[in-house]
Amino acid sequence: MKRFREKVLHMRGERGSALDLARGRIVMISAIFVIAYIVVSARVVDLSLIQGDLQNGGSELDYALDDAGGFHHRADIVDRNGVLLARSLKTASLYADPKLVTSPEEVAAQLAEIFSDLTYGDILKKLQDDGRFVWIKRNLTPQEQQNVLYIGSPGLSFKSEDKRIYPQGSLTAHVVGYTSVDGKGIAGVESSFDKLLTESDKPLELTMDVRLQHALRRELAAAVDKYKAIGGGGVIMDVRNGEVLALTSLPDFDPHHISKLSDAQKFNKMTLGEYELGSVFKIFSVAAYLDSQKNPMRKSFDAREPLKRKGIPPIRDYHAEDRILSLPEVFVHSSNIGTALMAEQMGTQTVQNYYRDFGLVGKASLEIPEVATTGFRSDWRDVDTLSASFGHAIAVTPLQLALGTATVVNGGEQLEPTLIMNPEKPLQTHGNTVIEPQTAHRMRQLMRLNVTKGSGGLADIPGLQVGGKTGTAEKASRGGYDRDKVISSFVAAFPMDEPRYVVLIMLDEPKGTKETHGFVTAGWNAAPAVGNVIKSTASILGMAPEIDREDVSASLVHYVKTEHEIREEANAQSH
Amino acid sequence: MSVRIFRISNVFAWSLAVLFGSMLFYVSQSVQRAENQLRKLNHQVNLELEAIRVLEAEWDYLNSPTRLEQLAQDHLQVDDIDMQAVLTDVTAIPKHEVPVVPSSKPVFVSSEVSAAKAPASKAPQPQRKPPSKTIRQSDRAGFSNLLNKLNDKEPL
Repeated sequence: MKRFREKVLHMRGERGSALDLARGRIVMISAIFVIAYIVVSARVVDLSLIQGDLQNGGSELDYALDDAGGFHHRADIVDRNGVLLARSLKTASLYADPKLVTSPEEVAAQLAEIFSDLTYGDILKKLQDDGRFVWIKRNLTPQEQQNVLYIGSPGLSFKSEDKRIYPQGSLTAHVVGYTSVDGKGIAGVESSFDKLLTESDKPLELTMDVRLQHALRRELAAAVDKYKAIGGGGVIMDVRNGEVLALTSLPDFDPHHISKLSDAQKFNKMTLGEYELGSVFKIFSVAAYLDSQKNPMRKSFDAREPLKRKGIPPIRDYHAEDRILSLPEVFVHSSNIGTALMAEQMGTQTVQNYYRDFGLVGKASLEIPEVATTGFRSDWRDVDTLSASFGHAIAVTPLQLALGTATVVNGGEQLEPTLIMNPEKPLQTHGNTVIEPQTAHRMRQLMRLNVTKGSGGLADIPGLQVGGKTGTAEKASRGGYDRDKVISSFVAAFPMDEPRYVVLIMLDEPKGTKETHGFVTAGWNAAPAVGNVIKSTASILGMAPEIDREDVSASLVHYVKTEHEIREEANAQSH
Repeated sequence: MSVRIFRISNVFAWSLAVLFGSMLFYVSQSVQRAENQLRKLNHQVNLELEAIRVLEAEWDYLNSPTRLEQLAQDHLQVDDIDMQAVLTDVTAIPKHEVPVVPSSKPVFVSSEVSAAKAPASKAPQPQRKPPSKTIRQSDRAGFSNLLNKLNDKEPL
């Protein structure tokens, strides 16, 4: 040892310092290597023992849905009570790579157990295919997907997609609309609010109520079926703010099957269809007359002879009374001659202004793309004003008819029909009035009188004071009108002493039956349907019948002569 | 020079470095473990949320007025309300009759007699046709049918 030390001592000097330097370097390099090896081995322990364990535990869930966090769905569409009308669901579709399926028999047996609608043989056939990709089942529920994951076969994989589902099916089809296969809105609210639905998380709340919608559609479908109509439409509207509570058009469609739709199915009769609606227009003509004339209730109208004016065929009454009528009688007996005389007195400009103010002309503000713009014909003559007074020569959408009626009965306040809930201001109107409140009251009485004494009798529901007006119009065809094809409609409001809702049902080409004595008029087919709708929706709307309440039309009854009075008068004249 | 490596302060410094190193390693491992757990839980939450979305849709599908009306017709003996049968005046409802309590305990008669007295012919009969059992079985299938419909959606 000592000798060695002496040797060390010998090494002093120039050579010794060089050796020291080399030794220092060797120590440093080996230290670096030792540290590097420690780091590497620590990392090996980390990866193989610690993290490996964690990843085995986590991968079971991860490989199925790698985009689980923050998946953004297209927003829901709900009705006024929060019932889902449209929702996007992330659905996983199961496919297999037959090459990677090790034991097809076993996997097929397990899959057949999960999917009751697939047979063992069918799956086995698919799994033994030569290709590398085969669909087993599209759009699984999460539970089914979980069950498939438990099989744990490497050949089974999922493809997840956002799918639009409509739990109410065809019930609200025309309003809600539908989306394309890549989730873009194409019709209805889906289309007009496409951007909002894509970006927002909050559900879009509609003013619709599926319960009312169902009642309306059920009765409409029953009437269409019973009278063999080619279609029909209906709407329920709140007269205070224009909220559309139900809107249906038949034939409709299943929004999940949009590729095979016919044009008739896609067509929304209520908002896109422009029809000459006939006598229901007398509501507006009479309202305009009451509002613009002095002492209108004292006027009388000679309906003894058809009204002959240059340029149009003679105006006749369908339910001809052949006598001089009071104003309420014109309305109750639906005299074309009477309203034509009224229109003649008012003049074209006045009548057109009133129609425009009632919202019958122009474009209704409903928030769907399928809304027609109506207008007066460009070649309008003064005689057309006479025809328009009983709903000919002017075509409007049924929605506009309901809107105008709501404006008449609510006291004359102009409305914008709406489908979208405004939670802040549920009772918002412009405050513009079209007619005086007294006129509106008179119209409520007249409409009620039409149900108690006139053609709308089958719509009466005791205790709810239903009031309305029937309309049956021959459909315009090439160069004239087709007698066999009619549009029959009944527009009602209730309760007439303080109207809350307007109900409209329109039937396209109804046929006569034994029950209606062969008649195709609205009093026989549309009116009872509206009555049924009101009967089954009153309790949903929270309305109790008030049997004892005085009828609003009571003070007008004496204006309408009974058959007995007419007979006595005739006798007195002949003697 | 080489002896100095084993000085107390060096040993102390080395062991401190090792200690902190292993602590750091432990902490980082714990964080990773916790993050893994969080990811797993978040994933489960998302799965549950998706499942809830499906269940809500199924709930509204099963509660659609069309179906409820069908069920009510099949299973309940309820009809539409007749508006004239609705009472709006509470006082119109007759007062409850006070039941007459017999002064003595009724004498027990043998069961045979009471059985003979029982109006056998007036056993309550269901007024409507027996409910169709098929509806209930088809409920779940109905919803999967709805999901299946999505398969038919083709590009326009």
